[in-house]
Amino acid sequence: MSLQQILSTGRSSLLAHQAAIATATNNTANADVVGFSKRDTHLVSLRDQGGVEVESVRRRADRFIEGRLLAEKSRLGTQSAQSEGLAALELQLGDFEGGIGGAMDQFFGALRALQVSPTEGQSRLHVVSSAQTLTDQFNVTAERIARERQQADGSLISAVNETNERLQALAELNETIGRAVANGSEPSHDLDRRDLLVGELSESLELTALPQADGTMTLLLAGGRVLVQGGAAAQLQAQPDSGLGGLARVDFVDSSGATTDMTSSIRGGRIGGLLELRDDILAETVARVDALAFDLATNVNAVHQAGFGLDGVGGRDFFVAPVAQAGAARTMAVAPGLVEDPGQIAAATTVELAVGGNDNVLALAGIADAAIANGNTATLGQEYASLLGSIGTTVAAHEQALRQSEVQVDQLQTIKDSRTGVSLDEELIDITRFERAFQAGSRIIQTAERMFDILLQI
Amino acid sequence: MRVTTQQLHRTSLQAVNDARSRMTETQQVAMTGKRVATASDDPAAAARARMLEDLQATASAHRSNASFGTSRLQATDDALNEVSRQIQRAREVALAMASDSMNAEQRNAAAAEIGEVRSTVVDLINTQHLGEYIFAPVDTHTPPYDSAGGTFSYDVDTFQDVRRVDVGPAQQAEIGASGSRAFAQRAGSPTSIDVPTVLADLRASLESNDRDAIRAEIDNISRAFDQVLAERTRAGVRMERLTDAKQASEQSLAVYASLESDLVDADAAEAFSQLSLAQTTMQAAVTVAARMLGPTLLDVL
Repeated sequence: MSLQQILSTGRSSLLAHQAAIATATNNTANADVVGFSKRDTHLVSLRDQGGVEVESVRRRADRFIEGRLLAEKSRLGTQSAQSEGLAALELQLGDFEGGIGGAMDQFFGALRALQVSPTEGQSRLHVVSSAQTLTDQFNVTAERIARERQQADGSLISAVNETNERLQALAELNETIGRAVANGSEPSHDLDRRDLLVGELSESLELTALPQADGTMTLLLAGGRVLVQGGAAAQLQAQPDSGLGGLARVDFVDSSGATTDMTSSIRGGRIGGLLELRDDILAETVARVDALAFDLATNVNAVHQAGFGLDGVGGRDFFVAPVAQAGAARTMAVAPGLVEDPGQIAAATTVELAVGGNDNVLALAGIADAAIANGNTATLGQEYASLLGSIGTTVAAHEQALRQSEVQVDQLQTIKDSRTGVSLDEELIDITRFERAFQAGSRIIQTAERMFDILLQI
Repeated sequence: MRVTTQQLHRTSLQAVNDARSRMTETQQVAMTGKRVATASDDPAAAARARMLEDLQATASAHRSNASFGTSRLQATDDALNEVSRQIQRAREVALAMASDSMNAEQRNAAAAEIGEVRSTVVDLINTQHLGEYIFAPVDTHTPPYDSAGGTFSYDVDTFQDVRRVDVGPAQQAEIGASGSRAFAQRAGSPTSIDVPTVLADLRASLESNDRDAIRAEIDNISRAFDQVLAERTRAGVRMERLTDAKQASEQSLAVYASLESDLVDADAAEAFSQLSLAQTTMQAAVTVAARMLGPTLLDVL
């Protein structure tokens, strides 16, 4: 081995370890960057002339964990998208002491109290005011749920827009990465960014990521529709639809421009979670509250119409007759005539008993015990309790699933971190190690230099 | 396992967060004393608690109806008792005046007394309780007896019933007594007699100093007395039913309240031991996090 070779070995060592230190310092600097994967410097010895060189700087990746993490993130996305709406729902309907249930108790309590002195003005006023409290509760509840639906709709539209931007960005990254891979290099930075993007996308939609041989990533929506393939991205479209009462319809627009309505079929991720909240959970709850209001109003009206007020007039409604079951809770109101003059409360069953009769109040109070709700299978109180229970179950199941997803994501993230993350201690040791090697490399050059000197002195 | 820096921080953060959220939950339970504050805490318990609230509201309405009924029946009983006393007095007067030894002047004086008795009885028939005429069958704001006209102001044959109210689940009770049955002569009942009329007749007989007529009235007065007593007995039975119903409502209330408490209230001892456990966990999490994040090679290299 010639002295020249020793010199160039020293040089290769310096260069290789300088590169290794650069990688380690880069790792150290990026220790806190979300989505950063640790780079490893792979050194190989030069076969013929001796020395060392950097074979490659490779980014750590674990496709298997990555795939499971995507699936779990999409579940977490679904759950966390529903948290706010469900919390609002429970606030309105989860209180077993007050709310609509408490107001119903008070209304029927006022009717029972009216039985003992059906002509007394105060008792009649109390019936009217407790009925107004009850209708207020129905109005407010329906209003709040409607507002939550609108809020879910707004979040849905912005989630769709964000998703579209990310799909587009992913398609562009695919092209860049594809070109780099074709040139034989590893675009670590772009790969980090792409993994991050795919992670964010999987929070919005339930999807499958398929890495391709050419370095690009194909994204499939659950159900098999192609979201991104190479440099082409599909888009989602959220537009207000009159068929949904002005709420947004979600269309899938593939890269050729063909649209498909997917409002009722997307159910995973944040977008699916918001759709489920808006169109299933909240819509069904509002329908049950509407049905309760409708059954209450129509049954009270039917009994009330059969009776007579203090003025001997019969056939009046107690509540403003609901036009249809849908929207009954939101528009529920006590008949204006009754509010004006509580004497119109039909306490008596015949015109002869108009002043002093209380038979019709007995019948009105009896509505509380009759199976008139939920298709004549339950009393009003039972139906409300069942509604409250089912909301509690939905929220409790949601909280459970959310916690589970959080733990799952956390565990998978920990495993992923363990495989691909940066450990500062490790990097410090590496830097020290490479620094020593760098020192050794310079010593080789020094040694070779001295050897040259010795030779020249001969 | 390889432990990375982000992993270390996230694990510590997670542990502290978990401990803090657990502590907030236990604090909530300890402060409110409620294990179930909202439906999702325990959906089945919350739904049952709602039904129990419903039952309590109903029972409480039944209890106050029964209380009101009791006080109304008490007023009824007082009035009927006083009417009986007055009729008793009238009978004593009639018996005394039926004697041959009485002269016209004495009978005339007695007539005046019977006049007083009659007007007292009429006042009692028009007794009010909380602004209502208790013996009026329907329209409780019109006096049932028209004292000027000397007749009942309503059709005593049509309106014989007493106001009924809900006092229990599927249980109604009459709160009061029937003025028709106590004081009036009714078409369907041949033995019934019009009380104010009997007294008026006695007074007329006394004024006309007609001994035979006075003797004849004694019988009628006895019938009137029995008739009032019979209604008073019925009212007494109703009062007992109401007392029973009230007790039943109170018992139901207590049972429902205790069932609800079992469902939603926290066991204080358990709540506090959970809280102190959560506090310990919290402290441990913070201490461990501080130790985990503390030493790195940077400190020594």
